[in-house]
Formats: sequence, structure tokens, C-alpha cells
Amino acid sequence: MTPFHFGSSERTLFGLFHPAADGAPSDVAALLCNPFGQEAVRGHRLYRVLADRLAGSGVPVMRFDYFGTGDSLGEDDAGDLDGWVADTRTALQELVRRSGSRRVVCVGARLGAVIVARAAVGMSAIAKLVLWDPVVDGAAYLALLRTSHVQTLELAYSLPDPGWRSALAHDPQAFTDEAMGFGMSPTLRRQVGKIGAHSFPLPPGVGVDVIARASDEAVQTWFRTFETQPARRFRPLDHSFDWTAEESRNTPLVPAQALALLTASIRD
Amino acid sequence: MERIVRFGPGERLLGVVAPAAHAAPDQPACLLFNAGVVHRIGPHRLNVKLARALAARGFTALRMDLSGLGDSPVSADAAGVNSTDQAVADLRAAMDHLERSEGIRRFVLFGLCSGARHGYRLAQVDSRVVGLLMFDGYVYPTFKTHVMRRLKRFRALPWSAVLRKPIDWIVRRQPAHQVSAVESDEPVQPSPEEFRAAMDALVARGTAVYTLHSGSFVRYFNYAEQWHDKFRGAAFLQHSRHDYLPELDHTLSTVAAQRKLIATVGDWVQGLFGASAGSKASST
Repeated sequence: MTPFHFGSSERTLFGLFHPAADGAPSDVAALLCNPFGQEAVRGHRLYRVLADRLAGSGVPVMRFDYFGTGDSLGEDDAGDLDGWVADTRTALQELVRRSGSRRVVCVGARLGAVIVARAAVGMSAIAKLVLWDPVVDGAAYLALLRTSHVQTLELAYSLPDPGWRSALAHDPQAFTDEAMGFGMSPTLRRQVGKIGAHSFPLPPGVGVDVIARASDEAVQTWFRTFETQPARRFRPLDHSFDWTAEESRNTPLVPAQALALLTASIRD
Repeated sequence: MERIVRFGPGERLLGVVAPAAHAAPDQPACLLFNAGVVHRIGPHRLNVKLARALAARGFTALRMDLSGLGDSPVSADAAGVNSTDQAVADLRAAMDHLERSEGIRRFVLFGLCSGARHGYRLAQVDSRVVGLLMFDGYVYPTFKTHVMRRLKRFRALPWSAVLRKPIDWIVRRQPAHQVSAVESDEPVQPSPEEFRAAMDALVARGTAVYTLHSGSFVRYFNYAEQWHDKFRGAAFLQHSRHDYLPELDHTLSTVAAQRKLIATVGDWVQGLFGASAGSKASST
């Protein structure tokens, strides 16, 4: 595994490249694209294990942090969706250069699913999109982040402040500038709030696997809008990954079923 | 510009160095490392923000993954080695690396939760550690802690407002008796006697020590004078700093809490080791 910086000097990004274990050239590589904020922290270990497993089977992999996240440069509130789409394209080009692969499978989890779908437009190297628990309703997602933020606070303090719940219920501006300790700019909030079924410009000729719970009605409704198109597949996941939990809570960090489905989707 | 570094046996440990904005001779570097299972960025990206803030104040900061966490693999020699001993070895490898590559010979450790315990152990065995900050590390409740816990929970009930004044009057007169570790049901940690001896030795050596406790563990730490009540008369109390900041939570879950902690840590480090502070090694 090779950690490295890439991108421009103004927008330096942090990446990790996992070369194929046998060193043999591979026609296909995988780019793993993060969710947002605490969800990215929760997914870090699973992505690490997934990358190791894929590289061990001969598929080069790259993970990276968007600008303003993780180890990349930039403050929390410097991040925005359009910038992250550009970062993903930069990462894709870096992966092709490092791996020598002609085709790339892009994995996007949660908000990362919107990012990779948009980044894929016009990028001929992308062979497939794997979208895990995609955010398909931006307004609902923002509401979830607000609620999760208050839940996080209530669990973090021995004596929770009842004013938090009251503010959540009665003040629509409360808890809008951050989500579980990660700052959110007004620009990012506006962009996320606009996410809907139209936000996924799925390129023709590019395979798309959607991995989510069969009971997720929002994702099911969205998937039905394109399920009859060629190379579109829904892969049900029984396990509900706890995306917003603090790491100390007793929830699995690397659920076996999620790992297996992601691996299968990438290698298919 | 930050630098990615690999160090330790087989160069398998991963870290990111935030270089000091303005180099000064013999300035200590700050080590930031994993809290729980979160990778090197820290909970809510705290380590990244803190490292960059310290670098801006003139202190090189290295944030790293200990063996088996984040992107550092498990040590090849892990069999039979407990996690604390491995963490100490990893942190010493980090110090060795910065000493070789940057000529830095003094280090300040920032340990959160499990990190505080690792830092506590490392500071005792390596004199290159000139500063140790333990955030939500060890806790030693007193009798008053237990009274305060019940009082605070009582006061949190809405209907308790009418009883608040008489209760306050009673509690202010409550003596702070010692409570044994077994009786208090507190987390596994050194005995108070061991901890006191270790802390006395550290400050006698000239190591600056700062213990911070958050508002996340009212059961075990819940009033500002608790440290002084528990270790009354100990030498280290006069030569170290102790704060109870109930507005902070254990993992700094809000941007405001992060800013508060980053400013507090930065002020402490700068006050002790900044250019205007000279090279004094211990302070309250």
C-alpha cells in the first residue's frame, strides 16, 4: 500500500494505492469513494479491508479523501459537492496512471454514490458504478444528519441538554452548520438539499450495481426508474450498516455481507 | 506542505507530518495518535485540525496510526505483546524517526482516552517526552464525586428547580473523602498510589503534565477540584495543570468543542515551549 499526495498545490489530496498483489497488469482497477463526515469515518475500516482483499486477488485499488476531508488539505467547510466530483475525476486519472488499468470500477457509498455518478459523466475509463446505500433524497438526508447530530450529543454527554431536542423540533436553523462534528458550508447544504432521482446521470453502457436494503423504499423507488435499462442490478443487503454511530458503540465495523457484496460487484 | 511518512520496523507505520510554520531551535514536536479504533485523523477529524493548528503556532505535529489501526498493519511481532506495550513501541518509533529526520529530540504527547493511557506509559519510560496531555484518561472518583453525580442527575430533572438552593447549601459542605478503586467501580487503571508516584516522578523529571476531563463521564469525574481532593498534598499537583471542562464531550462531537480544545491545547503548548516561553519544561 502506498500513501501519496496528488492533485494541484491549491487542492492537494491524500490517497492510498493498493497495487495488485501479484504485480501483474490488471485490465480493471477499483476506486473507492467516501461518504460524508462521520459516515466516512465509519466506513474507513471496511474500505481498508475491501481494498486489501481486492488487491490480494489481483485488482489494483485506490482510496482517497476529498478536499476538506480526512487527510486532504482544506478545512471542513471548504468542501462542496461540485469540488468533490472534480476530486473524484482527478483520483480516477491518478488511478489509471498508477495501475495501468484501462477500466475502473467506481464504488460510491452514501453521498459518495451521487459523487461517483456525476464524476462518471464523460469519463470513458469508468466501466461500472457500484452504489452502496445511495443518498437519493437530499432533503431527507439533511434531516437525518440533524437528528443524528442531536443523538450523538445525547450519547456523548452524561447529562444531555433537553434544549437540543426542543431546538431540533422547533428551530429549522438549529444544527445546520455541522453534522456530528463535521462542518458543513451553506453551499454544501444547498447542493445536498437538491439531491433527488435526477441527481444520478447514469451513463449508458456503464454497468450499475445498487447495494441497499430491500426495505429501503426511497432507494427502491429510485431504482425502479431505471431498472429496465441494460446492465442495471439491485443487490439486496440484509445488514443495516450503522453509518452515523460513534466508533465506540457496539456495531460491526466490517459487516461480512456488505464486504462480500461489494467484492462481488466489483469483480463481476 | 504536509508530508506522509512511513517509519518503524519495515517502515510499516503510517503518519502525516504537519511541519512547523516557523522553525525554531530545539522546539518539541507533538505526537497525535489513535483514540479507540478511529484512524489517524482522530474523532471528527480532530487530530488533523489540532495538528495543523499546532503547526501554525510553530510546532511540528505528527499524527499517526498505531499498529493494527487505520492504515498501519499489525506488527509482525505482535504475538504476546499487549496493546499498550505495542503502542509504546510504535510511539518510540515515531520519536526515533523525527529525531533522525528532523533532529527533534523533545516531544509532547496528546492522548485521548486509550491514547492518554499510552502516553502515560510512554512518558514514564522515555525522557524525550517533555509534555504529556491526557484527555479523559484516568479517573479517580472521591466520595464527593458520587454525591455530585447524584446531585447533578437530580438537578437535571425539571421539577428539581424548587429544591436547588437547599441542595446546593448541603453539597458545598460535603467533605471529599477517599474512595477505593474497588468500591467506586471505576475503569481499570493504576492504583491512586501508583498514579501519584508516577506523576510525581514525571514532574520531578521536568515533564509538563496536563490532565483534562470532559463532561462525558459524570459517574467518574464531575467537579473541578476532584483531582486536588483525590491527591491532596501530592507534589505533582503543584507542578502540573488539571482542568475539568464539562462543556467538552469525550470525542469532541461539535465544532465548537473542537475549537475550544484546540485553543486550550495550543495555548498550553505555546505557553510552555513557545519562543517567548523559553524552554521551561513544567508549569501549571
